[in-house]
Amino acid sequence: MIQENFEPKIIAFCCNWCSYAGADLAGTGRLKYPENIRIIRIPCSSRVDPTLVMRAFQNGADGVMIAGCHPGDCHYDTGNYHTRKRMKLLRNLMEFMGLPSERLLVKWISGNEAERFKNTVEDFTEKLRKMGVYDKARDLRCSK
Amino acid sequence: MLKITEKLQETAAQLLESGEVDLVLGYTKGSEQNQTIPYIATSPEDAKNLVFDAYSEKALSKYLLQDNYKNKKTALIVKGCDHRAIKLMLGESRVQRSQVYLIGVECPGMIRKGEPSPFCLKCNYNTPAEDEVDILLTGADVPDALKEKNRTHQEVFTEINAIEKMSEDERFEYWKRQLNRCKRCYSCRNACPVCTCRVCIFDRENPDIIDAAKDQLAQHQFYHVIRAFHVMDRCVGCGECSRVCPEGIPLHLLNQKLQRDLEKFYGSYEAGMDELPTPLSYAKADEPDFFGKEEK
Repeated sequence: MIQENFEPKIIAFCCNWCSYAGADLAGTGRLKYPENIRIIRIPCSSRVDPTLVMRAFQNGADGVMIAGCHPGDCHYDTGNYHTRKRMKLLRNLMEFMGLPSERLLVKWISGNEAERFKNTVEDFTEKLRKMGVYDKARDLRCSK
Repeated sequence: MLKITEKLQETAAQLLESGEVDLVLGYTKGSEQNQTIPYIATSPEDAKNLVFDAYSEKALSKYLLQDNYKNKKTALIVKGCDHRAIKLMLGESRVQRSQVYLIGVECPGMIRKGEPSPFCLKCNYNTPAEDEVDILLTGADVPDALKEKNRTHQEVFTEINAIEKMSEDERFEYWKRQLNRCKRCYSCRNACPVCTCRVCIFDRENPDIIDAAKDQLAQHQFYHVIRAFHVMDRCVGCGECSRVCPEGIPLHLLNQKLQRDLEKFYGSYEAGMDELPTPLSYAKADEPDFFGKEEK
């Protein structure tokens, strides 16, 4: 269904040490990025497991973004290795079940990459705006 | 009577008489035709009721996790897939080796509704290794239907390939049709021999991970995706999940698909046969990074 003035809702899980700092830097540097994004600060990107991602989609998110430190730079040494293993497999499973996997984005953003954070959010928002409302994994009781 | 059934009854009677085990967990004939059901023998007279044939499908290793087997020594019949599950349990210290007496059997493959079970056609570990069980019984009669067995590794995935060729909407419709019938009875979880958590994530009350709503497709998707993820690298391919589902949902496809991807990207691993730890419990620096390049 095409809605006029559709604004996608993005849930971003940002790791405390790198990507949240990057987002903060974008803020202090007064870089403007779309307000569709809702950031949740987590200690490490490996805190995110499939439960959280599916729950976000159920409760009304149109896109989920997981931002973590670059591999090798994780504050907890090996956290983001777990993230990339899990999220790759989750994307494949979602694809297999007919849920578009482009709605789940994993990006490595470090603490000084404010520009990269802004560009990621802008591109993702634009892509989701074109893809439309995500009603395939939504719990219908949430839209009442 | 089949030779293996005779040997089984002798072994069981002997074990029970000498007091080496407290009970023998096996199979017996059910009341309908071609039905074989689980059975507990506690005395040498009971041992005469034990059988093993091409209809003994149930994975017995799951029973060991129940409370009434805790302080007793149990002998149980292990087919190949069951043995793999027990090895996982032993490796993770869910059961003690001194608690079980393993009677390995040479499994001929199982027949389900007149047809050979698809899981048995692709099995490559039907008989437990002799040095890993306490006794190995051979002499099972191979039914004609199962003589032509062993699909190749690639053929195993024909159903998954067929689904992957569909368009995204078709795939969604396919799974929607299947998952809408789910009643959330949790039979799949209860019968799975590698689902061994003491407190299942779906039973926890605080936090309440899953909603009991039975009419929401989103909740069914949630349950099956999460369960497939938790079981993925440990799946032994016994097929119990699909067999016990009262609605006939092909749950094994989800597990097989994940296993194939795991193999493709991170190297092949057969749960129960290769060494622990299972691939998803560790992550290394030299694994491929799919999110590194600028994509889409």
